[in-house]
Amino acid sequence: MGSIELWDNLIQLAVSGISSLWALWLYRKGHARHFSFLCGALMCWSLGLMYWLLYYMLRGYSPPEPSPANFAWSGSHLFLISVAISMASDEERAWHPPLALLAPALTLPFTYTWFALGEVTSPTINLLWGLGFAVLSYVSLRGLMYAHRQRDRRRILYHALVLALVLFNEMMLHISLFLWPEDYLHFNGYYAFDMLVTLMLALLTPALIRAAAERPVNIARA
Amino acid sequence: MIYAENIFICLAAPLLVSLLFLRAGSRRFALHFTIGMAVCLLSAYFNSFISATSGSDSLDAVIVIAPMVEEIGKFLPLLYVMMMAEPSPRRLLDTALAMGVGFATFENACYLTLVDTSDLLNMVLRGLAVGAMHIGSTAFMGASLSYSRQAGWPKATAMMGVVSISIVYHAVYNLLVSFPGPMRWLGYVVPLLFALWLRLFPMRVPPAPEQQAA
Repeated sequence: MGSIELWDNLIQLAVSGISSLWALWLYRKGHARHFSFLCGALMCWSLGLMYWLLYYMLRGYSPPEPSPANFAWSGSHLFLISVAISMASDEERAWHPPLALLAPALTLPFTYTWFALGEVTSPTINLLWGLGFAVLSYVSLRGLMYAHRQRDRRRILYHALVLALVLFNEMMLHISLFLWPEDYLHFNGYYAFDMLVTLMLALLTPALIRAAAERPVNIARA
Repeated sequence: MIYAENIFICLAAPLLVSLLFLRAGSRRFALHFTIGMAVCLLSAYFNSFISATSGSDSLDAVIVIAPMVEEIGKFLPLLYVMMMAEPSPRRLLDTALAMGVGFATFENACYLTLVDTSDLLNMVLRGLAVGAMHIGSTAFMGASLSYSRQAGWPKATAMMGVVSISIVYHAVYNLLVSFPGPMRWLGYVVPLLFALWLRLFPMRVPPAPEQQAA
């Protein structure tokens, strides 16, 4: 493993690990369940990455798919879906705007590309992740649209971060795996997208703190 | 080759006989302990089958396949108990603990037939670490299942996420103890630290549904 790849993974491991502990502390302080789910999401991410790194250290190559790391990262998506569902009101959960289907529709070409170009990836994992990305992007876009209707900027920011994580970072990250499969010793698009993923992971907890805070009362309207 | 079925019979038979005489919590513990041992035996079959069909070597069987099979194997009976018996959250947690203990005990019993048992320190570490790891992961699943009955809880996604955490926790432990040297010691220590953390900062189980309604 080249040094840049190692540092990239270690930084992401540290960020996701510390963020998960921060979310856990917030949950124990306030008992808001969405912080427990966010802690689960970030913990799954960090443990999956830890497993991947330890396996590489032990055996000298990446773990075969499917591996516990794949399950962990898939679990991270499930927990992020749980965050969105737990934050949603009954009205939001009952609302199904057709425009929200745009997000999962955008994930389909990426999923198809994994199946088409991923010679060593497991079809089961491709399907699992594709479904996870589709559902997560749907609930996030629906949440963003609902927050926009309610003029709740803080929730818009949180859902936008999750969408960025899914659509613009993680999906492009996997595409870059196929476009630059040989040159991991030098900085390339893969590392750029992975560092953006790390940035999104770092911003999730503060964004959720803002989103979960009580809306200030508008005195002029009261 | 070890005759795991014979070991299971020898361990389970007294427990099954005791069910005729035990009552209440003791009987439930003995039953779920036996179920935990049975899950361990069945998981070994599935591990062997999947390893053979996928062409994995023995190390990959331990660090890749076993965590996935064993954690899903422990989760399914818990899910069944929750759906069929609808126990109180505390009782569900006790069920999970008993299954985890049974699983770990049977695994250690089979391990004893394969290795030299003269190294006391190794036996103590192995016994404590494996026990703490299985009990911790199963208790975590049991506590999370008890929350899933609350209104507004995203049941399917949260529960599958919890199983994912258990799988990767088990996998990281198996990986660490597969390393030679200091990493192995870290692998033994991590489950013990997690168990200590759970003891100092216990997982809160939600109140029973009838208490919630009151």
